[in-house]
Parts: sequence; C-alpha cells; structure tokens
Amino acid sequence: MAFQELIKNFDRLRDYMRDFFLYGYKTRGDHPDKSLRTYDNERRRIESYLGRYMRFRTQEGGRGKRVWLSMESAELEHNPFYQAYRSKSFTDNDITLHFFLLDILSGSPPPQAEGWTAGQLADELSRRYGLCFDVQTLRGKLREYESPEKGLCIFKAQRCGKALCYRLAEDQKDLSQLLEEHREELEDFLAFFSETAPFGVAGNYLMERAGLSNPHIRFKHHFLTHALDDNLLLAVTEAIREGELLEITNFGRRQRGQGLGAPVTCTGVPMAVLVSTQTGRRYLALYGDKRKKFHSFRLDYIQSVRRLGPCPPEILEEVRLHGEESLNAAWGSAIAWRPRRERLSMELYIDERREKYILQRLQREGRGGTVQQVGNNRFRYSVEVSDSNELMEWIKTFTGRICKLEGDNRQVVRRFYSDMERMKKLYEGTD
Amino acid sequence: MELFSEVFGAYYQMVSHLLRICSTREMAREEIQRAAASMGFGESSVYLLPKLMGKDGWPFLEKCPGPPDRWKSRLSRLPKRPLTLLERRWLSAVLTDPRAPLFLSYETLGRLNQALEGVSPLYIQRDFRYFDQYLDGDPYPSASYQKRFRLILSALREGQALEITFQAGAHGGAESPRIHRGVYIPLRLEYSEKDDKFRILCKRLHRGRPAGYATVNLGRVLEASPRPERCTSSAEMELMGKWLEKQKCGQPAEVVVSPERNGVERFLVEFSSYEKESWMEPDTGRCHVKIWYQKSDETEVLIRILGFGPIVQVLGPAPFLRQVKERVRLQTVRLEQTAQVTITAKGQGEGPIQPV
Repeated sequence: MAFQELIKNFDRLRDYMRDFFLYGYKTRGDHPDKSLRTYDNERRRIESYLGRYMRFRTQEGGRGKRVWLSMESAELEHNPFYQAYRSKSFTDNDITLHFFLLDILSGSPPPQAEGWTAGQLADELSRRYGLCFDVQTLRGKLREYESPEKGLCIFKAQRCGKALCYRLAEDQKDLSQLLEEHREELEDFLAFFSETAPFGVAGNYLMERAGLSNPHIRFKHHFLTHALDDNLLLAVTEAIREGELLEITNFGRRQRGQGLGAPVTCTGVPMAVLVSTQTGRRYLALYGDKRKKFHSFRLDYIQSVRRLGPCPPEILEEVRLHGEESLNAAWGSAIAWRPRRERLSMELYIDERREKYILQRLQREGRGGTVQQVGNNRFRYSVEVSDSNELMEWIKTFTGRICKLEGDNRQVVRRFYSDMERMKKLYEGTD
Repeated sequence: MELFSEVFGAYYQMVSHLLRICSTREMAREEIQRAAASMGFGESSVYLLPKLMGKDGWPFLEKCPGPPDRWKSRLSRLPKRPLTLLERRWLSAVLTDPRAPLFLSYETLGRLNQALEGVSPLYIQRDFRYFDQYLDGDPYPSASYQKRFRLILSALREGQALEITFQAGAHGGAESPRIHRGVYIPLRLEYSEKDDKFRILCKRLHRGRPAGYATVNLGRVLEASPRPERCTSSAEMELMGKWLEKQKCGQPAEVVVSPERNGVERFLVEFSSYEKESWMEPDTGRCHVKIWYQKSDETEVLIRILGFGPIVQVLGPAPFLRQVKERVRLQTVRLEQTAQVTITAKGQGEGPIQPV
C-alpha cells in the first residue's frame, strides 16, 4: 500500500513519537518488534508533522543512524505533539459532507421549522451542487455530528412526525460570539490552559479555530509527551466521574524487560490521576477489584483502556473510604491499601545565617515533613510515608549536606549509605 | 468523546482556509499551492492539491472560464466550524481552575459560565493530584495578586513600562528581605508547573535607557504602577531572543547513565523538557546524554543529576564536573564526621558538627 500521511489509529504513532523524543538513541534496527517498512513509514510521518524538530546523526561506531526529536520546551509557543492529533484520516465522503452540510445548514432556510430531514438534504445537495449521496450515508454523518458520543454535537436533531430533522446547534452561538468579542483577553487564557490543563489539545483546537497565537507565555518544566497520552486519559477521567470499572491493558517495565513479553490486563476502580511535575511521569491510581489492592500504572505504559460500566456500590464505597487515606500517606505514586507508615529522617548541614534558602527548600519540597533545628547549623527533616524508598531521589539532591540518614526501612537507609560510598569512588581521582 | 478526530485535522483546516479565500476572490494554482504548503504537514500539498483541483477529487472548487487557470469556491457562505461539545466541555473545566481569574475579568468569567450553563466539565480538578508540586506556589485566590497579575499582563500586551517594587529572594544571607524598585518593561510571562509560579522576563530601564534584562517572580511583586515609557514589541522580542541565546550554557552537561534501577528511562523522561542528545553504548546498555540548559538553571540541573546518585556519572564540562566533585567530597566529609562524633560521643550525647 502506498504511503499515507494521515493515520487511522493514534496508538502506533504515540509509541514512535515517544521513542524519537524521549530516548533518541534508537536506530532503525532498534525496533525489533516492528518491520523495517513500518519503521520507515512512521518515521516519514513524524518527519512530515514535526520535521523542523527532527535530527539525524550516524550512530557512534557507525551502527545505523540515530533519529530524534530535539526540543527545548521552555522556548516553545505550543506543544508540537498537538500536531499528531491533526492527522486523523478520513474518506472523500467525510470531508465533502462536512463542508457542504455546514454550508447548507448555516445559510439556507430549512423546509420546516424543525430543520432538514436526511432526504431533503440529499435533494438539496443534488439540486444545488450536483452531488449524489444516498440517504443512508447522509443519516450516518448527521448522527455522528449530532450525537455526544464523538464529542461533536454541532448539529441538533428534532423529531418532526416520523422523521428526524437536523439543524446547526444554536446553543454554542452565544459562546462563539463571546469568544470573538473577548479575543484579546482569551488569547492568553487559552494559550496558558492549552499547555497546562489536562487535554490541552482541545484548547489548542479552540485557538486554531479563532486564529489565535501565543506571543506572551512560555512554560518551564513542561513535559510535552503528556499530550500523547491524553487520548487514552479521556476514557479514564470519564470512568472516574461515572464511578465505573475500567479494564486497562498495560505494557509496563516488567513486561518490557522480558524481551517479547506480553501486555497484562487489570480491572478495577479508577481513583485519580497522579501527576509528577518533577519527573514527568503520570500515573493512574486504580483499585484492583480482583487482588483487592491499589495499583499505580504509568499512563505512558498503558496501551488501551475499556470502560466496563458501573462499579458495584459496595466496592466504590470501600475505595472512597480508604482511597484518600492511602493517597495522602504516599510520598509519590506508590499507593498502599491501608498503608503502614515508615519514618525517615535526615540531618542536614545548613548555614543558618547564609543558607536560609535551603530551609525554604525543605519547607516547600518536603511534602508535609517537619524541620527541626538540632544543633549549630544542623537541621533534621523528618517525615512519615508509606514507602520511604520513594524519597531517595529527593534526599540525594541534598548531596554535600547530609550528615545522617535514619529510618524504619533499613534496606533504604543501607542503600543510601552504599550509594554515597559508590559516589565517592565514582568521582575519586578522576581529575 | 474523542480528541483524535478528522474534524480538527490539518486537512480540514486547510480546506476551510482555502474555501474562505476562494469565496471572496479567485485563486491561481500557485497561490493555492503556497497556502497549502504553509498550513499543512510536510507532504500535505502533495496529497491535497490533486484532491482539490483534480478530476476525481473533492468538489469544493470550480475552474473559472478562460485562461489563466483560476479557481473559486462552490460554497458561498462557509461558516466557522461550530464549537464542538469537546471544546465546550474543556472550557467548562478550565473555568473552574483557580488560575482562570488571572487571565479573565470577573465579568468575562461570568458571561462564559452563563454561556456554558449545563455543559458538564470535561474533567474535575480534584481527579488530578499534582503530588510533588512545590508548596509555596503563587497565591492565585488573592485579590491583590490577581490585580497585579492583570496589570502586568496588560502591560505585556501593550509593551508598556511599569514601576515595580518587589521583594528579592533569600539568597546571599541577608537578614531582612531586600526590597527592589525599578522601571521594567514586561516581555514574557513564564510559568513553571513544578514551582507553581509565574515569572516575568523584563527589560530594565534606568533613567529611561535600557539597562539589561531581569526576571521577577510575580509572587514577590509588592506594587506595580504604569509608566509612560513604551516599546515596540517585535524589535524587543528580537533583542530578547538574542539575549536568551546568550544565557544558554556554553557547553552541555555530559553524563553517562547506567541501566541499573531503570536509570536510563527515568533519566531521559525527567530531563525531557531540556534540549538533549543521547546515544547508547551497544555492549553495556549505558546511555550517554548531553543536556543543554540556561545558565541560571545550572544548580537545578546539578542537584537533579545528583538525585540519581551513582546511576548517573557526570563527565563534563570541567566546571560542572568540579561542582559535582566538590559536593560529593563534602558529602563524604560530613558522613565521616558524623561517624566520628557518634563513636567518640557514645554515652555523652551527640555534639554539633563544625562546618567544613
């Protein structure tokens, strides 16, 4: 089949885009699970969408060519990955009907107050433009544009005798007008939220529709690949809101580590989306109804989600009862069902006169831990969490100041001291 | 509900744009070609033009009689694409964000909320937990913060100077907070989700003349009032761009990441907001990464790398490596001192450690 620029399914593109952007070290031969032709097509597509960010270099040692996407998020006006959402394929009928139906419904007075029937629209298309469409095809398109299922609702249907009549949805007219009237005010508003709010691509669509740009705002610590998971996330947030059970298909680190390992499925009650603003990872907190425990699944590892309908009320109640406690007890994404608490404390050297900013760091980054002065220029930070291993990356950012680390989890403390010993060896005599 | 729909697609946008032009005037083939090339993806015009002007293509355009070849739209009054339910539900959700009043007046917010009455929000704020966001974020609900924010945003849009009084940061060991006052032209607003703070990048004026650039945390601004000085935005942006380019590190930080504890994946995801280049040692699975950063972010980059412990080894450049070594050396000394104190002070209580 000839190469097509547009695609039907977002998932494959999602994987390749993440590979090119995050990892960047892979060559054509490093995608063993895909055919070379698939790789070439996906690469060509991404180059077509995001060519200005694409970089190529021969692999060190001459083993193939590395292809990667190079971007500095703080300098970007918009998230470039939103382009990928504009690549959905369509048929000739889809695009023809889209524009001609909009043209007829927006201008011509309808034959009856309720609007146009599919048959009348077929006649009008033929009369005015010489286009022949069977009524069944027209009905399908009208239903698609009317129903909330696809999130469009740009047509409204009303029964007129036995037939359904369609007209342009009027309930968004005030809003459309408001967006026009307050363009300047809304430009910055939309520019900001289309990058920072969940499902920001919807805001980006609004901006494009209104012809707005983002001349004023830039975003630091901005994780662009989150946008690639938003399509899947939509079903998750809908399920949270409706109190539904969810089936997720996950291809996590454990499965990936097994070479050609297969994805696993899990069902349960989705609780919340956990977002790390520092590490760039997002998780789905899910109560597994079979194993009766909390799981947190990396969103970028989830391959698909399926809504399974309403969750039994007794499970929902139990999850609501213990969920909050479990989420509050976690330092990060490791959530435990009825969690135990592990104490951890570290003593830091901080020049109390000159280094107040370190004390401020402890306050703002310490997530509820307490800080206590225990000596001259010596402070103790203490916290109780469900899994103290999760703190270790943060603890080690204080390297150079840590005088002592103590905690209930001996393995974690031992690993810290062993890490510090390894750091010493790593940088010893490497001048 | 779908985010991925052809209705929002690049081809639909291009066709809509061309039809709008072609409904007011005739267009030559080259003009259509140029418009398609400027809007679509890299290869879009190759697919689009035969569809728009070919015999078996889409019936949107008709050829005008006589040479030269020109085209006009067959549609007379193409409206803007109506707002979809997805867009309305998204708007409804973001209007509940505590940061919404920073950008919109209460009157606009009220009118938007009214227009969106009955539209259920696409998501609920509390379904998203930003568990590691800093706790000292900007005070969005504060009326005075909102007022200052809007004044600064308006000055940014209009290129107007402001007299700003702000509290300086805690660096430098000052006992009491230092207060600065000066004349600044806001040029860019910057937001960090991690810090949950806004900053403004400004041009500083001294006696009406440019005196360099400054970054001011919006949460630290105590007062702001308009001044008569103005600037033309495009020229200033160009100058600022050049200045920002100079603020980048001369040489990238070079590290090698071990695959231990999923280090490569963790590191590359965490540093994905920076411009970077990476390559893999084929036999060891160790990944070499170069990271480009702003000079003002050097300490942040450094401590985040240290957070990975022995999984990440810094290779260079020399000044960066020196800082890492110094921190590791200090760390070794601190732990050794603690061990000594613990041994010598057994039964006497633990004494304070003297600074190194």
